[in-house]
Order: sequence, then C-alpha cells, then structure tokens
Amino acid sequence: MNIRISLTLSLLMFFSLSFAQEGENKEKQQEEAKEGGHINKNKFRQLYQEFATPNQYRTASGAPGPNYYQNTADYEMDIILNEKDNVLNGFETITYTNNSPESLSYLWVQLDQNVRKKDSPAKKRNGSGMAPVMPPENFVSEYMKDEFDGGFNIASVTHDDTPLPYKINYTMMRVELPEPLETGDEFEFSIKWNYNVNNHVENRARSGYEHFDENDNNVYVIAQFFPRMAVYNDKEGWQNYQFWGSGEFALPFGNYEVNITVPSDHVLEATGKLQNRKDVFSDKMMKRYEQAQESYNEPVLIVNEEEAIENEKNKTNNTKTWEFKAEQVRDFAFATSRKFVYDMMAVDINGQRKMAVSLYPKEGNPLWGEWSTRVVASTLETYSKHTFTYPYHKAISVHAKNQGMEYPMICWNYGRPGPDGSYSDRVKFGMMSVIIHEIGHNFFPMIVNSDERQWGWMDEGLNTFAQYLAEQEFAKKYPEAIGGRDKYPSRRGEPEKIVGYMKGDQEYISPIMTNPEQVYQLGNNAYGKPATALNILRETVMGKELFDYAFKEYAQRWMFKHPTPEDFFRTMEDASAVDLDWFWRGWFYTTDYVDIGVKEVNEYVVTNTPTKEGKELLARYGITDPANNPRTANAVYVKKMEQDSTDVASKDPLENAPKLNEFLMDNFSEQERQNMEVPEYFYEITFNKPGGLVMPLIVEYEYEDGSSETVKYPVQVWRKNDQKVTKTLPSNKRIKSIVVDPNLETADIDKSNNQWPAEEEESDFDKFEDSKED
Amino acid sequence: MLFRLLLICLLLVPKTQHQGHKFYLSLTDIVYDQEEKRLKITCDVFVDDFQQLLEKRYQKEFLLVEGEEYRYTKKYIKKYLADKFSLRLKNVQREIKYLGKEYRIDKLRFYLYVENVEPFDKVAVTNKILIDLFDDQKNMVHVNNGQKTKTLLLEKGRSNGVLNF
Ligand SMILES: [Zn+2]
Repeated sequence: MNIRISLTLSLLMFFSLSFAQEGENKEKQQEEAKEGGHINKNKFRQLYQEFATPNQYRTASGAPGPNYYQNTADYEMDIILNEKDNVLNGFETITYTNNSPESLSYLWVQLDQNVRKKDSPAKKRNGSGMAPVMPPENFVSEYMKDEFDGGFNIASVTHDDTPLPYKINYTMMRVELPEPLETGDEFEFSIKWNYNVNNHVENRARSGYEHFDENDNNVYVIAQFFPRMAVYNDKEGWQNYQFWGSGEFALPFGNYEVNITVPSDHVLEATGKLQNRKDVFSDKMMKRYEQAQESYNEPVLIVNEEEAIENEKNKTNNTKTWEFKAEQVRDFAFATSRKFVYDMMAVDINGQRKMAVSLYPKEGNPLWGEWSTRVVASTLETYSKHTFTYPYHKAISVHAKNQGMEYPMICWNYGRPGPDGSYSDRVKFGMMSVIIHEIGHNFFPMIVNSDERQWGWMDEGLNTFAQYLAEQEFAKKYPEAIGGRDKYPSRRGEPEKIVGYMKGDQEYISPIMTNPEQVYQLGNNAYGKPATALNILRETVMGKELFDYAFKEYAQRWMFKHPTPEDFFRTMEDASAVDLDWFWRGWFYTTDYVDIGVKEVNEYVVTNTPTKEGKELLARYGITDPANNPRTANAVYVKKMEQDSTDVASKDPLENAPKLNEFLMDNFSEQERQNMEVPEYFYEITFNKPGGLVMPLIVEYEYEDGSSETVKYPVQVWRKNDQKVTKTLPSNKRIKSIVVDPNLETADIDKSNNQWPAEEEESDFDKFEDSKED
Repeated sequence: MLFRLLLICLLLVPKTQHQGHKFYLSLTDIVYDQEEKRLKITCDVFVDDFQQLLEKRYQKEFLLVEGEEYRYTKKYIKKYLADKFSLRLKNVQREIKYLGKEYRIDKLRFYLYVENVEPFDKVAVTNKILIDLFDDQKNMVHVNNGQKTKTLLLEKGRSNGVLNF
C-alpha cells in the first residue's frame, strides 16, 4: 500500500517535472544531428591526453616506481667572505653520482649568480621605458653609479688537479667528462670561484647584503652563492631551462661539508649541523645554548640586543671559521653579521627535539624578539602534522629587509618596525606570514623536492595552502597575536580572495600549469590560485579527512624525492578514491572560473484536476480520459503556481486534491495517515552555469517559517549537461528564497545570479558611500 | 648613453620575492551606474608600496595605518591620484572626485567617482599609479559601461589605453 502511494506521488512528480527536460533533449538531438560528430569534450573525461603515461619510474598511482632513481651531488666547500670588498671566494669539490640507467658524457652546473652579469640576457628580457619621475636616491643609485659587476668568476674547473674543459652558457656551465659516467659511478671535480656580493636592497635580489650607515655594517644573507649541480632525471634529462629570475630552482639532494670564514666578531647561521660550536661560541653563548635546548616555551637569547649593539660598534681584522655538515639537503645558505641578535627555543615534534632559531639586527626589535622564534616553532608543528615529522634538527628565520626567501633549514624574512620600534598590524602580520611561508618551504620544495624552474605552483601553491593552515593554527595557539580578531587575517587561501583574479580579463590570466616565466601575475598564478584550489578541494570537494590523508600520503611518498605535477594529482586520487580529473582539468589546466546561478524556479501545488501537461503525457500512453480511467482515477496532479500567488498555497493540499484525500481515507488508518508526509509543494529549480568550471552545487533553501537547510549536490550533477541542471524538490514548507553557494566556498565570480528571488547586491562602492553618509 | 641608462634601469626588473606581493599590481574597477549617471571607481593598491611611494615622492614621512595617519596624508593622496589617474570620455578629460579610502589588510582601497556621465561606448584611461616607483608595476583596470566589462593592463611605457565596447 505504501508502495502504491509513493508510486502515485512519484508519478505526479514525473508528470510535471520531467517535461522541460524531455523537450530540451529533443531539441538538442536535432541540433547535434546538424552539427556532425565531435570528440569527447565532457568535463569529467579522464586526463589521459594531458598526463604522461605511467612507467617504471613513476606509477599510475602517483608513487615513485620500481625503477625510480635520482642522482646525488655531495659538496665539500671552503668559503671566505671578504667583508671589506664584499667579495665571496669559494673552493668546492663536488661528488656527483649517476644513478640513472643512462651514461652521461657531460655534467651541467648552475651558475645562478650570472643573472647579475653585466651582459646578462635576463636584464633585456622585459620591455621597459624610462621612469618619468624618480626619487633622488634612486636616481643616484641607478644612473650615477657604475653598473654592478656581478656574476661568477670561474677560476678553475679541475679533476685530480687536471683542468676540465667547460663551456658557460649564461647561467649554466657544461663540464666535459674525461670518459662517460656510467650508471652507479661517481665523479669528483673541483671549482674555484669568486663573485662580487651585491646589495640586495638596491637591486632586489634573493641574496646579498643590506648596508647600515650607522657603524658602517652589513647584514649578509648569502644564497645561490656556489656553482650548483643541475638535476638530471627521467622527466627532463638535464634541466635546461636557464635561470631568468622568476622560475626558481631545481636541485639534487646531497651531503654538504662547508667551512665558512668570516670576521671573528660575526654571528653566523647556516644550513646544517655546526661542527665546532665550542670554537665559535663564547662561553656565555654556550651556556645559553644549553639552556635553550631545554626551553620549550620561551626563546632564550644567545646574543641579546645590548650585546649586539656593543658588537656592531667595532670591527676586527681577525677571522673565524664556522664548520657545518648537512645531510640530505638540496642546497646550502648562510647569514652572517656582527649586528645579529640571536635566539633559540626547543620544539617537540613527535617526540623529537628541534630548535627554532632567529637571527635579526636590532632594527627588527621589538617585533622579532617577540614573535619570530615562536612562529617558527608553531609552523614546524602544523606542517609536520600535515606531512611528515620535520627531519632536520633546526629551522632558522633571519630578518633581512624586503626578503622572503627559503633554503634548507634557513630563510630570510621581511617585516621591520619603524625607527622608534613601533609597528602596525600590517607589518606584524606581514612578518608572521612570511616566516610561516618561508619556514614552510622546508617541506615544499626543500624536502618534497619539486622542480621550481618548471612548476612554480608545486612548491609555492602547496606551501601557500599549508601556510593558510599554519596561520590559522598559530592564531589558535597564540590568541594574543591576533588581538581581538576571531581568526588570523590570512591574505590567501579563502575562496573569496581569488575572485578578483579569476574574474579578470582572460588575456592576462594563465592556467596554473604554466611555467613561472610565462605567467602575467605570478603571485596569483603560482601562489594564490593553487592554494585556494587546494583549500576548496579540502573543505568543499573532498572533505578534510580524505584530503588530509591523501595530502600526507603525497608528502610522504615524495619526501626526499622529485615529484612532478602528475605525481601529485594521481596520489590525491589514489589515496582518497575521489576521482578528481575534472578538478585538475578545470582548475589547473584551464583559466575557467566558477559561476553558478539559480536561473528559474517553478512552484507547484498538489491538485486532482488533471493539468494540461499531465493529460498530454497520459495521452501518449493511451489514456485519454484520465479521470475515469481506473488506472489513473486516483492520480493527483500538480498545478503550477504563479510566483506571487498565495491562494492555493495557503490551503491544505488534501482539501485541494479530494481524490488524493479519498484514496488516503480508503487505504490508511487514521494513525497511518498521521505519520504520512504528503508534500504540499513541489519545486522545479533550474540552476545554470555560465562559468566553465564544474563544482559541487551548494544550495541554501530558506522557508517561509524562517527555517533553512543547505543541500550539497555532488559535482556530478553537471556530467550530462554543462550549462544547466534541473532539480525537483518536494516540500511541506513554502520556499522563501534560494541561495547558491551561501557561504562563499567556491570562488563564484558573479554573485548577482546566485539568489532567488533575484536581489540586487549592493556594490562595495555603494556600501562605502552609505557608510560615509551615516 | 640612452642604451646604457636603459640597461641600468633594467637591473631593477626581476623583483621576485617569494612571499610578499613580489609583483607589483594595482586593481581598478570602474562601473557605470546609468541611473545615477556616475562612474563608480574602486582602486586597490598594496599599502606598503603606496606608503613607500608617498615617502619617496614627497620626501615626507607617511604612516599608512588606520587612525594613525599624519594630517597631510589625504592632501597628498588626492594630489597623487589626480596626477596619475585620469579618464577621457568623448575626448573630454573628466574630473575624478575622491570619496575616501579604506584599509583592507595589506591593501589600500580608494573610492572615486565621476559625475554627470552619459552612456558611453568608448573610454580612454590613464593609470600611472606607482609606475614612477616600480618599473614592473602593473595596473589592471576593469571598465564596465553598464553592458560589458573590458580590461586594460597598463604598465610603464604603456600607461594609457582606450576601450571600445
Ligand atoms: Zn614561497
């Protein structure tokens, strides 16, 4: 009995609600017949064309394959900083191991400093004109000084003291091998070099020094400072994309032993474990260092501000050599100055003690002393939770003006208070965010070692996504850091923040899957959009649990290895059983945007009077007089209401549809009837999708009684019709309004079509003007 | 000599920080409101850049922090915007009025408008904001004439453009 009732009910729904679609399908078929055939353009088709074929190196699951290999480069280096002339001298011995199945007849070495050579093509790649007005000091630095004489001077390239032939092509150097380097073999060679260290504040480089007129001192943050091995792998062969300035680095892993000689009154930090701490630390520093190792809540000052102020007043001609060893790192960097304040704190990461460390000139205080080390510690905790236990023993945040740049275990960060020590929230949050970001880069790409030269988003996008998580958690740990706010003011991550970019002119937007040198807006392209995409994936598409498991799986699979975009895409699906080809295709391979709206709403009430559409449909099944046909005598019908009509809606549907009422009376007991829900209204709602991206359809229904519910229809609602989808909804309450994406989860670029009944959205301008008038 | 100057100038180009905004971008939205016969304009710039600009250009101290600005700040902002941002409709340069500004985390938004605007299908926009400080500054301008939105990407050496609807 129950079955018959529901059959009848579904029949009547069928009558009215499937009509529109039938008509459309017919029309569509006729059009297609005229157009001829087509290939599969469905947004849900798999990415077989775009993805590389899985192989023995990289599997279809997104994991390293059985024959996965990577070559390694170990370095022994002696580095001397000549502070007077700002020259860095180095002698390095590289041991390169060929684990590839091919034999190599030459090696490629990267000479990134050459981007600053006088004749560097990087300086000529952009169109430019003269600045019409220029601040006086810029004019002096730009036009009145000699052009900076940068780039490596290569003194020698040798193997067993015999010179090796080499050829420098701009930022890369090909070293000829005496004989091919076979699989499993290693080759040792040495390079002697030097270069003029640049002022990074003047020429905005990733490394160099900042000069302070007071006491004539420099803070050195030194990176890309030595000839580094290029990567050879199964994807690229030798990386042959030059360093042009925007695309960062592709580097192999290796072990480093580095001795750095600097003036003896400098305080220095670097990638790796300090081997001779007792020689370079004073007794006082040693004692404080031991305290710091046991201090899990408070940073301990190794060099305090007064000591740093004293230290910067005089200069010595003596030198000291700091010795470091680092294992499994892809790069090496150091910071050194007699201006440094130096603090440390221990942090427990899954039972392992790590040191959170900060170095900053007094100009960074009080902000740096208060927050830097705490931010470092908190970042290691969050990232470790989402990836793997941070494998290195320390992470250092160095304060350098205008910098935000990452290296293994060490990074440079901006955020400087005014001369009187005061700072705005903007400076504070800018500083906290950049520290979180750059410390986060230890995970991507320092450990999950993607190729930055080809894919900026693989480290920047994933890292900016994780940065968002770390920022939010940091604020929970330190509520005092965010004042009265309810959460950390993250610049990126939330869907609404990417709308401005995604709705922009297509001419100036590139797919995420574009080389960083070729994009128009690197910040949105490589950072903002992929970070937002992952956030949406986590919170709206997959759910946190499935996402977090898969993301962690990716990080662990590719820890200390070299992943490609497909390895990431495939792992995310493989570990979650969520097919995401549609998501990667739309968000990463195209510049499509989200725009979903509610196009049309039809409201129906239950009635026993055969409707015109109902009669027509039944006629096709040979029922010409439905009221007197025994098969349909008890059928009830639905009647379309005008949107503003109130006459029927206010009445009980059973009253309105006596045939249904009789049927219920005859077939059900009083008690059964009381438990039975007979919908009063039926809605046929058409959602349209002017935007190219398919996304889950999130709809909030608000009822006349003030209650509301939010329904999430899976993205697959778009699988058969990319333009629109019609949903039917039986309801006992009359719907007052319908809102698509009520919580702004999808980065919908046009909200003017998101509501029914349509409502004019007040523009930012009007809101601002209104607030001014109040 | 000119060649040499250009080269030196270019030295400044590859600004690539790795978090900050590292790229210099402003975003201007111009929307025509036919009922009010007004162009309603919002213009977003990075606060840090803008403060640096004001300091360098006017050789004064500026503190662009909500509630902590020096009194003369508004005067200089208005002057700067008037010098650097202009619109021509039907070959007539139109006066852009300053409504106010708003701090939005790391961005500063200016609200501007033009009055007595008849429907148009062509507009010329000049936006040199921040280009005098940053060689690689890009100024994106969206214009909606009530029917369509079109975009200009303005930069050094190409700081004005015409949109036909
Ligand atoms: Zn970064």
